[in-house]
Amino acid sequence: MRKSVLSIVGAGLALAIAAGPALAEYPEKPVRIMLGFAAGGGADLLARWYADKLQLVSGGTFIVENKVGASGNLAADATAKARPDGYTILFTSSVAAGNPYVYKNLPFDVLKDLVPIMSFAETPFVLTVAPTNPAKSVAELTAFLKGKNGKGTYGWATTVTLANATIYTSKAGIDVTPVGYKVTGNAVSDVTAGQIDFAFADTIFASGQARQGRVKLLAVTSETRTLGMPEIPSMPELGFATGGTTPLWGVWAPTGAPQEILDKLSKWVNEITAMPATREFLISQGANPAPGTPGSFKRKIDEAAKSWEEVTKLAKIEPQ
Amino acid sequence: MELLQNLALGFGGAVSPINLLFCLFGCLIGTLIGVLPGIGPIATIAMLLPITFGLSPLGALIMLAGIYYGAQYGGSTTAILLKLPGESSSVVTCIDGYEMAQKGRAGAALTIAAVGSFFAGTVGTLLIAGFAPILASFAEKFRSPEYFSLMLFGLIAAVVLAQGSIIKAIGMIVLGLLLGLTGTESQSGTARFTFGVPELYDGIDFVPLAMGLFGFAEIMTNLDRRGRDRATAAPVGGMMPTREEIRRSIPAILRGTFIGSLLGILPGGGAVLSAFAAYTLEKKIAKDPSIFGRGAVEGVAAPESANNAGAQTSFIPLLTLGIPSTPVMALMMGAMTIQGIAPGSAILTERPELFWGMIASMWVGNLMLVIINLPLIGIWIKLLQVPYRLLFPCILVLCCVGAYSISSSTFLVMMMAGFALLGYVFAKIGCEGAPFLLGFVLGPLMEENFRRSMVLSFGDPVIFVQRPISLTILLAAVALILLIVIPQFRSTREVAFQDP
Repeated sequence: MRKSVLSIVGAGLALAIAAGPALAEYPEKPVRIMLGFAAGGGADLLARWYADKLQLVSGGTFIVENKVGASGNLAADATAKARPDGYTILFTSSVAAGNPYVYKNLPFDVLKDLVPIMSFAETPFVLTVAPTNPAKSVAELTAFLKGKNGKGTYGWATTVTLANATIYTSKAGIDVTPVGYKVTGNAVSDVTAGQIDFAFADTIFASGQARQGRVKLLAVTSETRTLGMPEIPSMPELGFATGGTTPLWGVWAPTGAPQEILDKLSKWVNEITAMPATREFLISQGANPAPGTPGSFKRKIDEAAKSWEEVTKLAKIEPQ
Repeated sequence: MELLQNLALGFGGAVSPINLLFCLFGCLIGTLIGVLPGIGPIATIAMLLPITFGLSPLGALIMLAGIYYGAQYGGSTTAILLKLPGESSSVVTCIDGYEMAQKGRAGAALTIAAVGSFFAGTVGTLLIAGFAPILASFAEKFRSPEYFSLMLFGLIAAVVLAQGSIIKAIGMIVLGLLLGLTGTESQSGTARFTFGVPELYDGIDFVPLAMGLFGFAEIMTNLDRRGRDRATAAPVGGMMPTREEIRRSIPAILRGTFIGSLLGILPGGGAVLSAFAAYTLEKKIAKDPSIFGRGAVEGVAAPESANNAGAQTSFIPLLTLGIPSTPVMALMMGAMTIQGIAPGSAILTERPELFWGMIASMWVGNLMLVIINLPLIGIWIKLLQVPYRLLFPCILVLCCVGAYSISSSTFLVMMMAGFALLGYVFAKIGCEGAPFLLGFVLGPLMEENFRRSMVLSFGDPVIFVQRPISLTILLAAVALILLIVIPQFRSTREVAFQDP
């Protein structure tokens, strides 16, 4: 390990000398990866995997810094205000593009102050119902909820799960009451106990609960089926297009960072996503690998911003 | 018989040299971060999570679990010696533990805390081994309405049992409650008391609040009166409890263990609530409640046993249902997922060696902790002899590092300073910090569960009395109120609440 790092650094040095002192090889000092989510959580595991592999492919040092708070906005703000030299980058998902519709007075502009460089994974959510619920499919659930005449309920804990449920219920034309939770796990636990009718949950937690027979999984929110659970249909496939609301994780930089560095990062990230070990890891985390081409992440983010604008209007979310 | 076989299987895995080493390592780290204010098990486990990638599943889980309950042991040390909650669940121990230390009983308090924790840890472990599935199904009966009733009961108990002026106590609870409501409301997503500051959207963090209110404020008060008294540090005293202290601690430890085991099982319960509840109960049943807050040994024995019992039994929902009931358990779940283990009932059938190995390691860990901690007490109490002018700057620096490390943000350090000032004012005007903290912890839980229950019942409050468990708790709360209202009780209450 040390040897390979040394040799890469050595090669980098040689290149730098060959190209002259003006073009030192990036990264010549540690790169900070800002992450707005808690250490040990799902997002943190993804970030640490990529940070570790970035060290391998670049020969530089990448450090994950957890700056937790306000749904990741604190970390995004810190990145937006950092020097755009490529040594402060951000790991966050496309949900960031929706935050302006949820929070007013954000001290930065996601679309203007940050550049989406490259995507790497998509983390879908699953529609869960109680094992005792008669519905075996989304269509049957729709009929079941319609039969409850406005007395149906669903649980949500984050803007993503609220958006998932809003898209489903508004397209299916059912009148149900949203019930808020602090943690998705508690909402799912209330689904099992029959307190609420359904909830969207992250794939890894939901599939663990499903394996114990505590919930049934009816659909995933990804565009196509999710690799870890190929037997579960996707919401878009059933006629509930989710737009850009499924979190698409990627690497971002402050606006103004040198294009050369962005190109490098984007190439490295794709290289890592293409590794078989990464693919296996992402599937084990309930995620789908989502490599891109230059500019594709940016297009997805613009699309996500539009989807979030629509869905927050549908859910009648007032920016706070 | 089957239980014995299972335990034998568990001990077979847990006492292998390498796993013993992991256990020891976890316990040592846990004790250390428990002692250090601000740095808690959540941050530590999260930071160590990536290095468990390469370990064996059992070894990784043993180490991480050791950090968690190790912190419960270590946390009492700073609470007793410095009135600083080394770990958030030891905040209650600050009250009477520190007073004991001031009277030269620091060694005794530490010994009782360690022995009580060990007893509670043993009981908690046995409960997991013998009754985990039954206890989990009981915990599953607690839904939003039951929670609301339980929190309401807790708040009423806090008022009824407060010391000194009842008006001040209510004022403090309400103030704590209001601060607890800061942040995003759970049903509507409305931001409250945030003044547009993004750092406040997730509410006020408990750690800087507790450190500022208790630790910092104590330092300021100490410096304030240094000229007049306390020219030297507090007397050190021996580490053995007196016969009288032992006699009073034993029932308190038993009650604390019972309450802690029970509350630990409930989602969101865990160690902090257990400690508060145990303390409140002790005060309620004491012949002379006025000794609390002035170095009552029960005020150390009960909450310290409760927080450790709660720490152990909070594993039950995770191990049997795959539901993490506290943030630490969420991290343990992450650790299991990394190792390819699906938390929940499947562990018991598919990976019995892992399940029983973990349980056996918990007992081994508790034994190690009591062995590590008892001899350390002699060293810890020497800390009291360090001149205060050298000690307090160190504490301040440690607290600032701890507060900063929570979210790599100076905002929390500033917030801690603000709470220090508030705590100083409280001390000056004779307001207790405990009801304030109780309001802060219980208030938001109560509100969240109340709102959710009302949404679930489509606005019909009958939901709280329709459900047997909720109804029982509410009736108990009514009984508590009657305690104040009925004259014959009032006379005893007045004895209890005499101002010093």
